Amino acid sequence: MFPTQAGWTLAAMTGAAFGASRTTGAGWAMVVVALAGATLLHGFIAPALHIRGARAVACSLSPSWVAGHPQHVELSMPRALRGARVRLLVPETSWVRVEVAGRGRVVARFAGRGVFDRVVLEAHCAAPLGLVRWRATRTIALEHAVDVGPRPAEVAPPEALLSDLHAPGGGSWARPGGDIVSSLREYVPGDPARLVHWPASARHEGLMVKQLEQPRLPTLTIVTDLRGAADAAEAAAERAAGYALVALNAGAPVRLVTSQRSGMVDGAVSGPVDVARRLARATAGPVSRRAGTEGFVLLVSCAGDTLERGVSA
Amino acid sequence: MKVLQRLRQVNGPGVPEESIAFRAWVLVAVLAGEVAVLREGAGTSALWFACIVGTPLAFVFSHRTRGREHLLLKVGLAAALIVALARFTRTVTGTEVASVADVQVPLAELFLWIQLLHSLDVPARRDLMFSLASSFSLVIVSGILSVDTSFALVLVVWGPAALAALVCSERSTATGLARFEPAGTLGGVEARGRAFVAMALGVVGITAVGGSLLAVLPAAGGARTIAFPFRSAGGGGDILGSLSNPSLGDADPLSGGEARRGTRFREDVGRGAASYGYYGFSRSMDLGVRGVRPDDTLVMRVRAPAADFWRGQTFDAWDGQRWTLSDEQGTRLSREIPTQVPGEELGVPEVAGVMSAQNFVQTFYVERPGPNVIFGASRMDHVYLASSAYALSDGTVRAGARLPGGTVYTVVSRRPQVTEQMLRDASASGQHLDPAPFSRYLQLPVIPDRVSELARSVTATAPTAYDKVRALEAWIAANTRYSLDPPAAEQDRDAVDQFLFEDRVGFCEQIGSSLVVLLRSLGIPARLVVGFTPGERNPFTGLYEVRGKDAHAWAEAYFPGVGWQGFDPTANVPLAGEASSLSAGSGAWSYVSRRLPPLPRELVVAAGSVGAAVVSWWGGSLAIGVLSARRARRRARSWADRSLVRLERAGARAGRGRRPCETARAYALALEVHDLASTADVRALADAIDKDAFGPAPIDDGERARAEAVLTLIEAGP
Repeated sequence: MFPTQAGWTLAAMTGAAFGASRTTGAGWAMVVVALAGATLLHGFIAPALHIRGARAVACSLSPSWVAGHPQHVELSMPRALRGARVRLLVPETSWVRVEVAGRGRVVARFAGRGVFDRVVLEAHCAAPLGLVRWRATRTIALEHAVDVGPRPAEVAPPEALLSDLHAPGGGSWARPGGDIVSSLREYVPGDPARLVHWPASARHEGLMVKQLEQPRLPTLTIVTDLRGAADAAEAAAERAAGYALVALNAGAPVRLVTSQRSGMVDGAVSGPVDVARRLARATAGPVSRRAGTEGFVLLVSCAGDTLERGVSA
Repeated sequence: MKVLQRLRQVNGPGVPEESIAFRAWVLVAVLAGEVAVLREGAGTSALWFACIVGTPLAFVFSHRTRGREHLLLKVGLAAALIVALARFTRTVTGTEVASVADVQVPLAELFLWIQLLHSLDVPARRDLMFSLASSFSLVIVSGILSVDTSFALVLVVWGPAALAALVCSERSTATGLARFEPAGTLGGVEARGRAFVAMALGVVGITAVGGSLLAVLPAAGGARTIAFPFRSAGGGGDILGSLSNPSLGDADPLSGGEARRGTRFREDVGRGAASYGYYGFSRSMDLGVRGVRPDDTLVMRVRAPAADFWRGQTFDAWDGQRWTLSDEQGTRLSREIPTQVPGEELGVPEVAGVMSAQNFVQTFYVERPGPNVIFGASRMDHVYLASSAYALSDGTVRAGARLPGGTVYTVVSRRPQVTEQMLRDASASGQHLDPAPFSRYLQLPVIPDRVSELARSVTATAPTAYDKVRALEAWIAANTRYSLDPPAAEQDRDAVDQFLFEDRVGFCEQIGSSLVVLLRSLGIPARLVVGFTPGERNPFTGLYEVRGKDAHAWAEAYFPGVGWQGFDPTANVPLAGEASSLSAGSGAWSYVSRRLPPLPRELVVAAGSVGAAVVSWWGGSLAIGVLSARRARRRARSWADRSLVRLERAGARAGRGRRPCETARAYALALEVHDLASTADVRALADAIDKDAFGPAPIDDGERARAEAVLTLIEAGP
């Protein structure tokens, strides 16, 4: 609760009027003082009553977020907060006026990654007179925790990775999509003519078509070590997310090694949501590559990124 | 350069205010403030015209040009303000300033000019709020200048307009914000209706609470008064201190008129007298005159921090029927402002230590032409008077000119802080009074023996002079009756004797005179004083409204070491040392109710109930708000949080603190309290904490009780 400029001005002028009344004997000035005092009291009490409705606010969020990306939050206001303005501090929203009760959506964004099981709401109200502004913050527990992954950094795979990934018989992250024949089957109308395997068709006495599969790229294991300064750790998490998404887009299997509250976790991730969730829960703790890791190992840390060759790479 | 940039930043134009309603309410408030000051006599007719016509035009101009840069206009306004300030300075320095009262009107005019000029440049919300604050200043200034109840009209207009402007201003601050738009909103008409009801309730509530605050706030004025207004209304030629009272018609002492025994005032003598004219304000006062009571015409208003009797003049010579002044011509006092009044009772020594250290300031606003007597509480120290002044030997003062309606003068008295005990001690201390200076206050004609016999018998058991006075007062109060229509006075009959032993019916002149004569017969110096009772206090203006019927006569007795003290068997003369402090609103209800037409009891009860309900609602809301806030603070920490804290404390006592990344479950199990609780119980406790903290709903009471039991065991320790 803090007086506004108008509130301070009115209080100061009321004090001056009181002094004038006491030193000049002007009764009307004292009447003005009484009415101004009552106005200040009204300006003090009314917003406190209006803002009480903030206690009944509920909100729901989608379970997966990425830091910095705007998403909708659904707010439920069972009571009108006339003259009040409301915003979420975590995740961040801009101020909105709440004139009527109901359920509606506001655009919010989380500033940083993490696992959030509650949101923080802030309400300000000085209505109706604007003399004293009441501030209320309320922590609203969420039904389900929200994972907020880091904003993926714009990264390019390390040069060494690019050059070493041109494995014999395999594809490359730089040229994804190279086909290999895994088997043959009988032609089904509609199959493209380019897939007909003519030598086999000749031997088989019927058209045979090639069954293709994506070239099997080497697994990229991203070891994310977030020990270090907070900013550097967040930057590392963002780079790790960037590497993981680049690899996934290229079709490479990706494993993430992170430290969580429960200990070190080493597991495959299958898409952006998975990556965001894993990195949302990552904490600063000891991590290490598992012995016998296949493919490539990318160590992402606050100090920098290092590519290592795995067992079969 | 930086300073210039900073100045530009501070004075930079704000965001133009688009709300016409806000602008209109501010305009109404500003106009109300301007009119309030103008009607108190500030400004010329040109300023009237400029304010009433110019202000709305200035507001319209300002609104239409709100988006433009106004560099030239600002320069012009600054120049005009400098001119107005110079004019104010010249006015103030050109006159002899005796107190802040002398600069009130020029200052009010300066405020008006500032307000008017500023109205030309109010493009943004900040500027409009400044105008609103400025209008508040004007209302305060006019409230200081106002002495009548018509100022209430100003408040009735200005108050709601200012409130509406504040509401609009607060809404304006949220104009740029996005709106939370849920489905199913209220319609515009209904919302406006609710806003109107809320506004009306706010006005009623503020009025009710403001009324309550008036009962708590101290009364206006006090010992630190710094305003001593005085003003001549003109039309009064110098009469060299002679007594004049035009309200007595042809009985005006200046023209030699006199009301004598056996006549009826306004019929036989005093033809042409005003209905409020009091024959006591003359050179003589004959107790045989009848038909003398003035009506309830308002004759003057008195601004004073407390009620007192406004003394006018004293009579010392008594011939058995008539009082006269033995000292007719006063001494001209110096023309300095303020004018010092010679000490109380010339030639009579004053004993130090009794006088109050605090000034008692009274300002008299003369409403009707009356005597040129300067009224004031005992004892006058100095006066602020536009004309010359003359002091009489009894310490009273006369103006050197007539005092027509509109005259204002201020008297500063130093009231002796006398208490009953002081008077008793003074008269019992055995201080011998030298009768020589008091001979005229002990003088008596030949009075019937039964009068002095009565005085002796009534005061036989009274040990001190003070007790004698009180005993005589009590006897008169018990054995005589106040009446405005006493029997006719008999020719050549002692008026006091007739009153005490025959009629026992009379008005204040008979009663006061009897007390004086009885006291003088006991050797106690006494005199008759004429003046006014305090009148009715107007709780709004803070002024005492003195009417013709408040004219009064009472007795004064002299106490060695203390001085003169008033006594009155018919009215209570307050002792200054026993005065109680007054609240600003004291007497408001009776003042208002006396002026209202008789209302049905049901209406009064209903209005009172509504007022009480509004005040109760406010108070109740405040109480609920405070309690709710306290409960909310208590609830802010959930059971899970509190339980975890208890667990951590128990663990810390056992030498195992909780690690930063340790969950409640891991910590509980790590405490190794197998000797206190089973692992299953500890796990259940941890589960309960986790479930309560992170589950969709708090755990049930049974689960909580089981967890609490385990927690208590762990806390108890081995």
